[in-house]
This record gives sequence, C-alpha cells and structure tokens, in this order.
Amino acid sequence: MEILDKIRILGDAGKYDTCASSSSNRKTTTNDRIGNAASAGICHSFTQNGRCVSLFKTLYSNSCIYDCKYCSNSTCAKKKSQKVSYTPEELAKTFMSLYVRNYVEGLFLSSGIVKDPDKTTEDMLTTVQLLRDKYKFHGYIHFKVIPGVNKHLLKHASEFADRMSVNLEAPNKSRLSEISSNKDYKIDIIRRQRWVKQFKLPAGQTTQYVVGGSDETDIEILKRTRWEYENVSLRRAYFSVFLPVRGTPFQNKTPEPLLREHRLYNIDFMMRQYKIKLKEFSSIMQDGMLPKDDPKLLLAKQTLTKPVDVNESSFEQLIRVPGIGPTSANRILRLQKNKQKITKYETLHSMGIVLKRAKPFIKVNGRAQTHLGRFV
Amino acid sequence: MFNWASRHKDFQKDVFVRGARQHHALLRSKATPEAKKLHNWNRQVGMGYCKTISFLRLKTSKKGILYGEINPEHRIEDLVTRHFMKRFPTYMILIGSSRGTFLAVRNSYRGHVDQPLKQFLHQLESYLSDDHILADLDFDESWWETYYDSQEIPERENKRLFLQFMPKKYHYMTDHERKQLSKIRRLDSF
Repeated sequence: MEILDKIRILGDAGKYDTCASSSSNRKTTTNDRIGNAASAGICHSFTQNGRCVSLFKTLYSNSCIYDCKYCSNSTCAKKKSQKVSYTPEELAKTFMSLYVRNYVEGLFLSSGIVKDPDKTTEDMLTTVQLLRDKYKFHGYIHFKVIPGVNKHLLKHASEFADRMSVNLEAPNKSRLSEISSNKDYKIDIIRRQRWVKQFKLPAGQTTQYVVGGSDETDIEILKRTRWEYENVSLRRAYFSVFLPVRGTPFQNKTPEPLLREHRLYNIDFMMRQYKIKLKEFSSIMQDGMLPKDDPKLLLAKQTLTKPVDVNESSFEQLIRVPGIGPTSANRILRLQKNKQKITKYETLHSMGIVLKRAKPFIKVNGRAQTHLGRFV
Repeated sequence: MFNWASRHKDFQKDVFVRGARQHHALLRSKATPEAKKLHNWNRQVGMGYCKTISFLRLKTSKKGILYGEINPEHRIEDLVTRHFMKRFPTYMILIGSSRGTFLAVRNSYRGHVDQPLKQFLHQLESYLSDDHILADLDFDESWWETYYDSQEIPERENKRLFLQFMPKKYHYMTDHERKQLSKIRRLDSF
C-alpha cells in the first residue's frame, strides 16, 4: 500500500483524539540532535473547524480487538474499514520528513490494538526508539497508553515520551460498561494511570472523555476529573462530545451539542486556574447538568452580593468577576501593591478588562453601576 | 520589558521615552496610553513572530541546509533564524527576506548578508558535502495535503473560528492551505 493511503486512513482514524500543548520541560543540551520541545502554542495550521494542527497525530494501526460501540475501528463496527498499519521505519521517516520542514511540532502516536496490548506497544516503542536513536529527534512525543499494557513496557516508553495519556472515555466503571464490554475500568485504565504518575514525565499525563457516549451527567465527569487531578497528577483533561460514526452500533444515537463540551472546559478551567471548588458549581447545575449560559456569570450573580472594589479586593475576589481573567486580575493587584489607585473605568478598559461584563459587579473610586432591582 | 516593541514597523522613540518616565506598575499594568501603545507593539511583534515560525515551511538542501523565505511586517528575521537555529543545531539555517539573507551555522547566529536567498544558497552549496539524514528524507507536498485533509471533522465545522485563526496576511501557507481558505465565502460574497 502507498504511504499516502496510510497517511490518509490512519490520520483519519486518529482525528478524534485531542491534544493541544506541545511544550515540555525536558532539557535538550546536546547539539548533536534534531528538534526541541521547549516552545508552546505553535500551531502549524488550522482545520476547517478552527482546531489547531500542531502534532502529527496518527494511529500506528487501525486494527482493534476492543468493542467500543462508538468507534469505527472496533470489532462490533458493521462497516469494516480497510485495516492498515505503518512499519516503524515508515512512520519514523514520514514524521521526520514533515518535522524538518516545519509542518508539525511533534508526534502524537496512538493505535488500535492489533493482537494484544503488549505487541502493539512494542511496535509503537520501536518507532519512537528509531526517532530518538537513529534520527536523533529531541522534539515532542505524546505516547498513547494502550489499556492493559504491562508495566515494564510502559516504563520503557516513558523514557522516550514527553507526555503519555490513557483515555478514560467514561467517568466510571458502570458508564464504561455501556460503551465497551472488554475494558476493565479499574485494572486496564486507572491502574495504568497510577503507573504513569510514578514515571514523572516531562509534560505529565492527560486523559480524554467521550462526552455523552454513555448518557453520563456533567457532574459525574467533573467529579472524576477532580479525582484525577488529586490522585494521578493529571495535567489536564480533554472533553470530546460524542458524534455518531456510520457503521457503528451507536450510529443512530443523537449527537451531543458542542456547547456541552465548551461548558465542561469552562468549569475545568475555573477549577484548575481559579481554584474554585467543584461543590460551588452545584448551585448552578440542574439534574447534574451544566446550564447553557456562561457559568462564571451565573456563579457571580449568586455569590457576588455587593460590588467588588477593584482597589481593595484580593485575587480570589477579582477572579470571580465576569470580564476579569487571571492576567487582568494580576495587573490590578500590581497597581494595588504599588499604591496606584484606579479612578476611572477607562483605566480598567485599557488594562484588558471587559467592562460590558464586569461593570455590574465592580466598584471604581466608590462608584458602582446601579440596577433596576435597587428601585423595586 | 518592551524588548520587542522596538522591532515594530511603527515604533516611535518619543512614546518609549515618555513611557520610561512613568511608574513601572502603571507601565506593567497597561494603565496609561503610552503603556497601552508599548504593550500593543510588543504583542503585535510577538504575534508576527509566532505566526511566522508556525507557518513558514522550510525547504531542505541535501547539503545540510534548511532555508525559507519570509516577508514579515516587523523586523523579526533574526529572531526567526535563531528559533530554527536552536531547533536544528546540526544544520545551517538560511532565512531570506527583503532585508537580505539571515544566516545561522551549527547553533551559532552569524548575522545577515545583503544577497538574495537563492543566490547565497547557490554559492554556499558548492562548498558543502551531502548530509546523510536530509538526503534520506524525501518529501512530497501531497503528504501534508493528505494529512491535513484527514484531520477534518465535518460535524464540527466552524468557519468563523477557522477564519479568525488562519493568517491570511501571512503568505507562508502551502498552496493547499490557501485553497482551503479561498473556499470559504464571506458574508459580502452573497
């Protein structure tokens, strides 16, 4: 088979995996190398949906012994796709050809499970070993962990990879059983995540959910995500809404709205960056689902009973105001620290604060925007 | 703090001098018109640099040279050359622009010459021997086109976001990416 067909088929099979950052804190001291992994946020192109194309994201093979009901590569898919696989040399060479010409920033390597998890991981390992040893590649590699792989192979892979990830797909055991009958949640997935945590990778580990694949609620997903941050040192979680694929048992299932994914990212960001506790969001949820409106605005309406004085408030108070993010909150704090008072709204606007959203919740120089409710 | 602002095409020294007299907290927090201007210049140069290193496609010479041509708005050619120099320390990097050809050799920046890229490249190649890795990495533009097309998920199409991110004014994109961009119709085309 032509290399072009492999790029097309295996690239297409891996497109639902999400990955963003390509930065790593791995030091590259030697000059006898190709590539580095220090730069973050470089997107080499964008797809028609605005997603960044940063890494060469591909499957090693699209054969699979698992029966995930949403996946076109699984054993229960009615429409069998053509089964193809790279050879390690082929994949390494294709990737390097793209990398030296600045088309991609790194490699994202995943795979279907060909015979058993160990055999597949061995082939993937041969590829990354070739890249590191033969081609002297020192750039970014994201290595997908195959559920059920043994610890020895995983440890070996961690020596080459910057980041590893095991896809949770669902928030708990019973939800996963609705999607797949031959994956064990605790043994095949959680145990592997605990092992990856021990390896202390330069770019840590991540995970991904199929949101809406098993009719789970948002609170189930968020609780699991919080557990992952606390127990397996998760760097971040990715949410990908369920989209039906033709020829799979879930082909007639209703697709999830993209807004749901967006709201989950909102809450995840506020949990990680703003340090807002998950239980605080329970007041804006209905039946365990997030609202369609902006959760930060809803939370502010409930918790900010009086206007926040920008000249006297702490970071924790400022960050809760809609229109003020971590960067602008830090700018305000810098002025407070240096005893520089903010007296005009224009100053706030110049500092990057979105006044349209922030005005109802802030007080500047003793003045606050009034609202109809005060006169009722 | 404003290292990159001076590289801006519209940089004015008097704005910088007025800004320098202000309190550092006001400057860093973007709280005065001068601070805002300096921050914006810094950001625009930073964005120009980021887009250039993202969208510049390098070409390879079997003699161990990686080269590319750019046409940036601001004076960032040396920064771009240094970026690729750090990334590919075993190779020679040549970045051409209207201001000449910028050169880095084996992880060391060497400045620029006033010759056009192609002419300088031709001269250099005659002195060098083949690099076995680059000579082995053959490439066809269709590999990238195929890969790029394979990543599209039609159900998630969001043309507004695509247009927001895809830098039309930077012409370092491949022909294929430019074609994808031209497929999109703006409201005024109806």
